[in-house]
Amino acid sequence: MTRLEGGCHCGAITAVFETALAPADIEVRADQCGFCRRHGAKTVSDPAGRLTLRFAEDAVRRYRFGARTAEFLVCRDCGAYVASVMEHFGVLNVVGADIAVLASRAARPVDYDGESADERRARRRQRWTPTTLEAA
Amino acid sequence: MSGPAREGPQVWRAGGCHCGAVRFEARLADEVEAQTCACSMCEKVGFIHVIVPESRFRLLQGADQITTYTFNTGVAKHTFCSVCGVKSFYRPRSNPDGWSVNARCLDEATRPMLKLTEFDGRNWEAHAADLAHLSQEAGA
Repeated sequence: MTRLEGGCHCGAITAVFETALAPADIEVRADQCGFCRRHGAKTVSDPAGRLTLRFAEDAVRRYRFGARTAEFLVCRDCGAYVASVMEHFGVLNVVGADIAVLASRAARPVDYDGESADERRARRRQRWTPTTLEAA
Repeated sequence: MSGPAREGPQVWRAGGCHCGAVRFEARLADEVEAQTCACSMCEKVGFIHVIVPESRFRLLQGADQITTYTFNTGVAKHTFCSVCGVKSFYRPRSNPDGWSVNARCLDEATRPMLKLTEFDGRNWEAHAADLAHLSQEAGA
């Protein structure tokens, strides 16, 4: 079992990613959308793993855009984009959460521009990590 | 050190955050020096630095939407959009007389070629002086 802990720069958001995969076997993706490119994001997920995000609600902006199907969690204090969530699934930005073992890896560029909102939701339910939000 | 930013004609190039609240322009040549940085802050926001003197940067809109984050010495002013969190530019500690623009936020159609180097921000004190010339005004 791999357990990776991280968080934003000021510490307002913390993240724990647990997976049966070894770090070297975790796929690191670089979404090519305008938001992820500007944040330099690299994301990971594992549908068989678990992601726990801990923050105070007033410390975080839940940014939505485009089809508005997910919420992008951005720290109001330090600006780091740490994770996105939809329903009870999430994807972790290992750059924003400063998980060095994954952030230092080359990321596979992915582009989901052509998806409909329904396809996008279906993909996330299939590939994102079951996620728990905890109040700090 | 011959900065390519000083070669060739410089033109105002626009950029901004994701949600559109913050827009800026920086006066840049077709090819510019750019730095990635391994410090704890830059890594977390994936910042690619294009450092310019004060006179070659202007904020077009969004001053009222910007949040400023400081830590450690407090000299650097880490400014980001309060809506989408994107850090389009900031006032760097290495160059407090200038600005560092995030190359990721320059509009793609007019983005210059980047000549990328890695700045060793984990040993910031030993290397920061290497960047000082980038924010000097021409002729200064």
